[in-house]
Amino acid sequence: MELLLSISALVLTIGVLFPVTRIYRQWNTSTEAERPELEKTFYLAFAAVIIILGIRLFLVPMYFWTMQGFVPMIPGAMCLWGVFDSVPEVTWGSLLLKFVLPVVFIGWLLLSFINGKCKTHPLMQNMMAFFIAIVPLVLIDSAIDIYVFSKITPLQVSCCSDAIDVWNRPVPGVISGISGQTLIVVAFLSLAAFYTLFLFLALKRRIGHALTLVLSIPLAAVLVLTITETFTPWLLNLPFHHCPFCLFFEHPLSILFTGLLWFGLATPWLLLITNRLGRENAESKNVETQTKKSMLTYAGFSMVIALALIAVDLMMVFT
Amino acid sequence: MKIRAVNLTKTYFKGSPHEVSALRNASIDIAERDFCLMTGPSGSGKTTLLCLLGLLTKPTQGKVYIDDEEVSSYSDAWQTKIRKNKIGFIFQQYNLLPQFTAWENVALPNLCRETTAAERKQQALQIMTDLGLKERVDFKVASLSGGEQQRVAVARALITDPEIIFADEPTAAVDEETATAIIGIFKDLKQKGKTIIVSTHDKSLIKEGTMHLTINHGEIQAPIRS
Repeated sequence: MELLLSISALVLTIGVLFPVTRIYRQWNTSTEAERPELEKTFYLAFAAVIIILGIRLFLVPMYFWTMQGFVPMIPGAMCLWGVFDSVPEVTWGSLLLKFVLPVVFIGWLLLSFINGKCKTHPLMQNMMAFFIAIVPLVLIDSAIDIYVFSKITPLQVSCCSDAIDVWNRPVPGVISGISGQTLIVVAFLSLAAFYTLFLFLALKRRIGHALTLVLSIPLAAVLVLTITETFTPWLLNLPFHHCPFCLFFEHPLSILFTGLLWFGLATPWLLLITNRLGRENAESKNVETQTKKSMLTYAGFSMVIALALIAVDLMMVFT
Repeated sequence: MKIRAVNLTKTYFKGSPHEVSALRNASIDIAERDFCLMTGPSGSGKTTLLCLLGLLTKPTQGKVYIDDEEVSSYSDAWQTKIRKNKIGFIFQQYNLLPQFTAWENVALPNLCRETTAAERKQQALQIMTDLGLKERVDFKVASLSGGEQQRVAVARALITDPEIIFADEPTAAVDEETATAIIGIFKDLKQKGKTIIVSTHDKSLIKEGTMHLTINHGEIQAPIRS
């Protein structure tokens, strides 16, 4: 299904490119008489783009789920790590894309949401331009999926513990007499707490949004380190194991808090897209502001819930 | 609700050898609770004007205002919302769906509103009873007479209790008795304060109007108020 949907998305993307480009080029220069025709084309193109981006977003969890299904078929693989290692030329790069591209795709969908709330399609041209800009990403994402699932073969691969549980770890075992694992958790929780405060601050002041943008990158990096260096060994009760795929598979709650943290971290970037492309007239500015408030509130609470889940998880480890 | 049109122009097949200029620079001002009647020879542009004012088609040029809101530049989706919530349309050729029964046709506009199936049926039966169609509710519309079909079309237009009602020659294809009944319905709607815009040739209907427009070759003559 992954392969079939990826091919569909690829074909649809190529097919929709012509009408999208036509709308983008002609919308502002068209006469009143030409606009209804362009608007009809827009509805068709819009539906196609929604389907394309819907497929791409749906295929993100599907990608991991389908890959997980290959674990028993790849000799040596004990978790997703081994499956990823069977097509290493693209899977590791695609892993980053699977977390970054949804931000872009959801950004487009947010623009379409704002446009739909306005009465005169003020964002039509911006949406089309943005889609044209992200077409290469959609094509790359689809092409990677097609490549991975057509190339995957039962090669002998190394188990995750052979590959990841090696010395030296990126975080030293002891820093100034304190456990490095503890320090990284404290750093993560502190950064995340500040980040959550900035999300709520962004509801009132513009500086809050800028701060979340700046802080989201180091927080994302610290989150990855915390997951591999601390959460995995602690939550799995395997002091020397650091494979995040094992954590997600063995401890499904970690998927939930990682997903919530992803949403919290992605929100400032989503709002950067809507801020740049979703404020064309007074009406769209108003809708964008309302959307921004809702998104920031959801993101803030996502962070709070994620941190609460982590806190409960960690308490259960130590009790 | 009041409707205003400013310099409405509609040209079909623009730029082709078959270009038709159906309406030229039509400007009108229809006040709230007006019962506006449009007359003019066939092909003069009455239906085009109704469709433009009722947001069924977009003008080649010009603007339509509903309650001072410029609605002609709205997207199709928003115009659909306005039609759904504020406008009822009665077509000359009924435009009923032959595969459905009379009550199902009447209930159709409520399908896209927040109503339950039971409420939809109840409302349809109520309005059909009011319009003297109680005995015909379960008939397929194809088996109804022209007059009955037109009354079903009227019921369908009124089931959402619209604030503006457009009717395109509602009495043209019906017998005298049905025409009288339909005129009676319009009188009731006028009493209820609805804004009504009707194109007609029916002299008995013309005398009921508060405003009379004559359209000729796509141009509106000065309106007469009574």
